[in-house]
Amino acid sequence: MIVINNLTKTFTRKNKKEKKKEKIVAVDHINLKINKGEIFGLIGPNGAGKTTTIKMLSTLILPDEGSMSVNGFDVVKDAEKVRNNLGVLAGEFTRALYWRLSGKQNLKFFANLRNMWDADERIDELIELFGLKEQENELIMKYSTGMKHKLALAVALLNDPPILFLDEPLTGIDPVTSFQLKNLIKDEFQDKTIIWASHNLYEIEEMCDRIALINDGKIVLEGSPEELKKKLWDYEKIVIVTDNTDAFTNINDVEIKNNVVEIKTKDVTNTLLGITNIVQKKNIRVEEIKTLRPTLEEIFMAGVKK
Amino acid sequence: MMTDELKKIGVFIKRDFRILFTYRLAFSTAFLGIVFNLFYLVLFGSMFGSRELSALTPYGGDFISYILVGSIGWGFLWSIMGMTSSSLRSEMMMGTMESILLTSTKISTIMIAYTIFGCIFGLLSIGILISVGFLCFSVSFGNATIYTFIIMFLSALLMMGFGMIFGGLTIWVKNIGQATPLIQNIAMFFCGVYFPITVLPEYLQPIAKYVPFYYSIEGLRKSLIPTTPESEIIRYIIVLLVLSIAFILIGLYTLYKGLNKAKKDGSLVFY
Repeated sequence: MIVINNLTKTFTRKNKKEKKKEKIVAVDHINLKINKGEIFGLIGPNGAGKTTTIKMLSTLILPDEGSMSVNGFDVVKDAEKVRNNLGVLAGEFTRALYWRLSGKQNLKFFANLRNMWDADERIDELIELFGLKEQENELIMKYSTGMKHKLALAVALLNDPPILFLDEPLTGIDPVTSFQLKNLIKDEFQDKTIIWASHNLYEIEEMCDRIALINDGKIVLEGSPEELKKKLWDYEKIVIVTDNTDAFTNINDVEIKNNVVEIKTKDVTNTLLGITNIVQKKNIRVEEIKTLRPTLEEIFMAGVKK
Repeated sequence: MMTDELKKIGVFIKRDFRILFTYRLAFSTAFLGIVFNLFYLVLFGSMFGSRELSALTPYGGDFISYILVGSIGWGFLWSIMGMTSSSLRSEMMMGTMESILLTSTKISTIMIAYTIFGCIFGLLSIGILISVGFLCFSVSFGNATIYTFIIMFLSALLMMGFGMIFGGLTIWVKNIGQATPLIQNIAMFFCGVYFPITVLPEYLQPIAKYVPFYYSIEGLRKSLIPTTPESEIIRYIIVLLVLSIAFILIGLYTLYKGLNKAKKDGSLVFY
């Protein structure tokens, strides 16, 4: 379990234009509780504070205020115990590998640094899992970006940590590798607690049990994707594609663009009945009619605006 | 715990050699550079012919031997220093420093590993210089005593301390590595590497006493001269011992302070 209380981090940066130092609040009094075995999504625009939060949890950045615990260990006071429970992909993680060593040599190096002196079996297992067998002895400078991502994830999994922090794990890789990695995480990491930071809402919606929207260092929203949709979006949309849009102008909350009629409603059944009546009475030809649930993207935009 | 950290030093050295051998051309040219530099200096010295140089009388008077010892000592010292500070800087720039720190490896272990790798690299250059000196100029190091090795060992510790201070400052100030050539040249000026400090203007000569590396180079030279009284060499050894302990302690302090600051600033990675 991961518990974050009142976590705050401010950075001081030089403003070269105004030639003075300015304070940037990267993380602003965040509170979170992530349960064991949960995939928790941290979504937010660039610079929202996702990476800083993950780096603080990973013991790489010290917080200014607040406390964090990972599996019962205080992140600042028991940093070493925390690190032993973690696998981390943070920042530009493919740069955090030695490009002039082979994939296997990288794995062996990091395994040894984790005091795993007899790690050959584990290394082979990971190489097999990530499909890197053929390239295991090649320098990783020759690897594709997707392969480097896989290797970085393999390095993070060396000690089979119960907790994983994945910061933008699928950014910059092709759809096929992305699909493979998502399936692998779904199938193989079921017992792990994962924080998945991303600005890709589709990926978060697909992968995460619960999410928190972070903006300007603050948690704006928190809950399961469905809960958030209900909380922020208490209506659904009915979309009608027809040439006779004029017939629908008298309905409440209607928006017409070209041949598309969009109706917002809290009572889908009754509104659909009303639409059916209009269609029958006026003998209108309807090409398509469908109801739409709000997307996470719409929730995200609403949350950011809020 | 302690054994694990010691084993990790070996892991770092193995990694560094693996990476080094992927740069075969750079590796070979680095050594060729050392040899060419030596040739330039020796040929320059040959302009003086067989004339004994009065300034070198306390060191046996032979310019080639003087240059060779200076080059060996200086090359050894700065390969350690260069390795510690540049390795740390490149780990931070590449982003590998964060991955290493995530494994709970102690920063002191990392620095010791860099130092030992620097020592090995330095010893390889010494081997080359001694071979070239012997084969091309008939300079022999048969006078080397146990004191010579003690002085080299203490000098390595001194440079490790200096490297740690520089490493800590690199983590702290980031771009300080760019000042390395300047520091190196100023230090070389006062250490008697290519000329004895007695040829410096009188008002500059006392500065050498405050440059720690002076004791390494001077001690190394004195240990190779058979007529040097044992007490004088021991004096150099004591000074080097005190300096290396002081530098290592200051180095560890600077390193931990620098690391703490980088963790506060979020600047363990920089570009």
